[in-house]
Amino acid sequence: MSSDLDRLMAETAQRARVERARNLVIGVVFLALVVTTYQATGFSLGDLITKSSNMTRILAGFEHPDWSLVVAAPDSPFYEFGPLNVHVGLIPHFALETLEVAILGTTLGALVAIPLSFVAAGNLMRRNPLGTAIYFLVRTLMSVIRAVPTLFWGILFVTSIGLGAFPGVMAVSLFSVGLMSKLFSEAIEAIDWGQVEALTATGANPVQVLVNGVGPQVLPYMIAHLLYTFEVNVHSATILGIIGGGGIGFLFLQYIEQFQYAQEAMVIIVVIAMTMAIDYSSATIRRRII
Amino acid sequence: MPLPLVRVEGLTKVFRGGTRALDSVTLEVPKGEFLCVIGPSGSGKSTLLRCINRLIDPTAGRVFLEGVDLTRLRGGDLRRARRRMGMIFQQFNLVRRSSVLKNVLTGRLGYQQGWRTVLPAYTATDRLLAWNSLNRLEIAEKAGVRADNLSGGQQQRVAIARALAQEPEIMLADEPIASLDPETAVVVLDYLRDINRSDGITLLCSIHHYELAKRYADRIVAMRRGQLVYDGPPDKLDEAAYRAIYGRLGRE
Repeated sequence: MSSDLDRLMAETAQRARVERARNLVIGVVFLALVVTTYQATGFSLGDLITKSSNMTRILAGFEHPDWSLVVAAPDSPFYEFGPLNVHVGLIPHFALETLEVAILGTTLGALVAIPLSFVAAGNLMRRNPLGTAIYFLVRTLMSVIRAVPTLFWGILFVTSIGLGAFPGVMAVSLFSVGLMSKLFSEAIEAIDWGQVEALTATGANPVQVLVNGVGPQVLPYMIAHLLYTFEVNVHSATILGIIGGGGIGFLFLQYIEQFQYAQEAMVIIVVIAMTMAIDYSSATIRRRII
Repeated sequence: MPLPLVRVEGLTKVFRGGTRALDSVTLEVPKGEFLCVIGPSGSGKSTLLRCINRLIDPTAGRVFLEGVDLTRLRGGDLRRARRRMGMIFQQFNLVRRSSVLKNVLTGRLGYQQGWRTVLPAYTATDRLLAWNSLNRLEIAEKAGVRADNLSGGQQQRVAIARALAQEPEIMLADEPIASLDPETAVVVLDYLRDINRSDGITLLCSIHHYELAKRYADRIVAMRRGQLVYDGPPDKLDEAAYRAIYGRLGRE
C-alpha cells in the first residue's frame, strides 16, 4: 500500500519536472523570437524620439482642426442619396460614401453568405459522401477568399474596374462573404439537433425542417454576426479610400500628402466619431438580440 | 388475430465504432396498448424508438406499421409514415425561440403540400387542431408565449400537444419524464394515459423509472445490452426479473 503511494508520489514529481523543463524551453524560444524580430524590424526607440518632431507637426493640426470642412456651405458638394439632395461639408460627403460602401458591401456579402453557410455547415452536410465533398469544396473556397486581405481585393478591383466606390463595394462584399459564411456556418453547426429531430419526426421535409427548425435558432446569431461584419466593413471601407476605392480614406491621403494637417486632423476626428458611433450602436443591438 | 399496429422484426443497430445498440429485437405492439420499455441507460431503449420512425436507420431487421415495411420507405412515403407516429423527447425538443402555438403547428408540417412547405402557411384545420391539442393539454393560455419561457413540465405538455396535432396512431415517447421532477412526471404520464385511453392512440414509452412503468403500462418489455430480456404484464415483473434487467438488487 505504502509502496504504491511512494510510486505515485515519485511519478507525480517526475511529471512536474518534465513540465518545468518544457515550460523553460518554450520561454527561451519565445524570448529568442522577440530579440530577433526586434533586430529584424529595425525597431528603434531612438528614432521614435529623435523624429518625434514630424509626428508633433502632424498632431499640431488637432489644435485647430478645420471645422469648415464639416459644415455645409452654399459652395460645398452636393450629396445625392435617392430623393435626398443636400449640400454637405466635404468630409461628411466622403464619410457618407464610406458608409454607402460598407452598407452595400455587407448586404451583398450576406446575400451570398447565407446560402453558402448552409452548404458549409458540417452538421447539415456531412451525412453522405456527396454532401461531405461539397462541404469541403465550399470550405476551401471560403478560406481562399478570406486569405486575401480586403486591401488586396480593393487594389485588384480598382486596377480592373477603375477608381470609385464600386470597386470598394466589390472588395468589401468579397471579404464579407468570407467572414460571414464562416460565422454563419458556425452558428448553424451550434444548433440544438434535438429540435431538428423533433421536426423530422413530424414528417416535415428537409426544407420545412430548415425553415421551421434551423431558421429560428440561427436567425438572431446571423443578425448579430451581420452587424459585427458591418463594423469591420466600416473600418475596411475607410482604408479602401486610400487606394481609390471610394470614401473618406481618399481625403486622409490627400491632406497628408499636401501637408494640410488642420484638415487631416478633422478627417481623423470624423473617422473616429463615425466608427465609435457605429461600433457602439451595433454592439448595443447585438447584445439585445442574443 | 388482427395485425399489430407496429411489428419490429430482428431489429439490429450497430453504430459506427461497433457499439451494438440493438441486437435482433423482435416485438409486437397491438393497437391501443400502453407499452413501456424499461432498462438501464445504454440498453437500447432510445435506439429502438428512433429506429421505428427512422430518425436512425437500422443496420438489419424490419419495422412494420400496419403491415407496411418502414425500413424500405424513402422520401415522401417515409414522411407520410412519420406523420402517423408522434414523438416525445426527454429534452422536449421544442423550437425554443418560437411561440407555443407555432411549435404545436409544426405538428401539421407533414400534411402540407407543394408551395406551402416553403413558407409556413397553415390551414384553418391546422390551426383548429393545434388549438384543440393545446386545450387538451390544458396549456392553451400559453399559446403566445415563447417556448423557452415555460417550465419543464409545461414544455413537455406543449411537446405532447405538438405530437397530438399530428393526429397520430401511435406516440413514441423517449424518456418523457426523465427531465422532470416527480410530481410533474406523474402529471405528464396522466396526460399520456388519458390520450391512450380516450383517443385510442397507442403508446410506446421508454422509461427507466421502474415503479411508474409498472403503474401506467398495460405491458412491459425490458431491455439489457440491446436485447429484450422481459416481455409480459407489469404484475409479473418481480425482484428476480428486476435483477435480471439491472443486474443488481434494489430500486431507483
